[in-house]
Amino acid sequence: MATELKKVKLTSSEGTEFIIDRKVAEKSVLLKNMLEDVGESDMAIPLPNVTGPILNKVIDYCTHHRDDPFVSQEDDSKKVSDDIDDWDAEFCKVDQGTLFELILSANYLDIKPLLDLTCKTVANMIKGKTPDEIRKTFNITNDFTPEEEEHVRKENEWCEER
Amino acid sequence: FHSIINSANNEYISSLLTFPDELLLLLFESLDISTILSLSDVCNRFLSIGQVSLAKKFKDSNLGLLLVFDQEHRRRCNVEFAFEQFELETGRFIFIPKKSNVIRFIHSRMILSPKLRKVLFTGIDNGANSDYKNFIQKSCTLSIESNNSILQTISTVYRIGRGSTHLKSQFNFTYSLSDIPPLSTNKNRCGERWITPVRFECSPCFFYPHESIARKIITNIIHFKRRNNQTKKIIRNREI
Repeated sequence: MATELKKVKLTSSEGTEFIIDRKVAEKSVLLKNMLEDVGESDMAIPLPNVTGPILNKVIDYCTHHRDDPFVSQEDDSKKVSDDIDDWDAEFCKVDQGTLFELILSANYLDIKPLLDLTCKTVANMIKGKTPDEIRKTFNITNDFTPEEEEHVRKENEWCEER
Repeated sequence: FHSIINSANNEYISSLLTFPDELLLLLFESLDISTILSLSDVCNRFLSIGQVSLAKKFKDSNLGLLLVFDQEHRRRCNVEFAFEQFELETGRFIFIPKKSNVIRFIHSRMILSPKLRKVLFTGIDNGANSDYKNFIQKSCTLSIESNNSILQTISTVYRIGRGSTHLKSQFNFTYSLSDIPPLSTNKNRCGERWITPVRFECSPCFFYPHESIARKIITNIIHFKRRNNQTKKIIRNREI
């Protein structure tokens, strides 16, 4: 029997069950290894780090890219370019919270192309921004203490230049 | 049910700071140097990750520094430095000369000491050159009085960063000095000194942007006025 037709059961953090093709599940290196270790089983695989809505998105991605050739880490690191295809671009049109959860999930499930795609999307959000704009965009507070900010407004500073 | 969890999560996860270091590193490495520099100026955690990814970027992209020396605008000499390592303990970037260079200068009471005029990036080919002009704001003088020793010139540059427009950043240039000519060179006048650049050290914020000239002029005028007012006050006080 081809692995195509075999199904895999996944459970999200809140207990929602997802039944997907094994081939789709195998886009995740974590799941692939698990399935190889466990072998034939009807037991659902619990994913306590992934919520239902996010798992749903991840499955969408893996289903769309189910037939993509598997790229090894080395040769695709050079190939990572700025172009994102239409489906992927549409896929990434989510709010920041969802995008970040997708990154964390892609990292946890070890789905390299999804991780690359989502990281690239965040990278594009950062590119060309000033530190202050980055803080605003990602809700980060400036924690540099005044001691680190050396205010050296010495009066003679400008005439040092000879 | 889902929506409640989702909104709660969004609240919790709305910052890049929730990412583990390895993910942030991955993200930083996909960006260009000027963006990494901006990121490292956002907060302390980004600063430490930014330094690591910047060092990696320097190493990978074969980026180096070009140091321009001269003495009274003559005897100009360029020395290329390659990125050597990032010292985690000190947070310093170390550059060493690509090949061994010996520069000839003259030590004489009649001639000003040689100067390190410029520090520039080399190895950037993507047209980003315009962003990276001379990093040092004023040239620094190299002492060549003593001979046969290792000397270090320490100077500072001012940068915009950490919420300050006057972030002070120190850099060190180390060189060895000798009055014995290198092999296959003859001594042809007195006071000759041969400098061998050894090392250039700076912190990553050395590469932060610096104040534009226009801004600098304005702040200078303000300082000048302030000082004038103060001297006037002092004079007045004395009169009283």
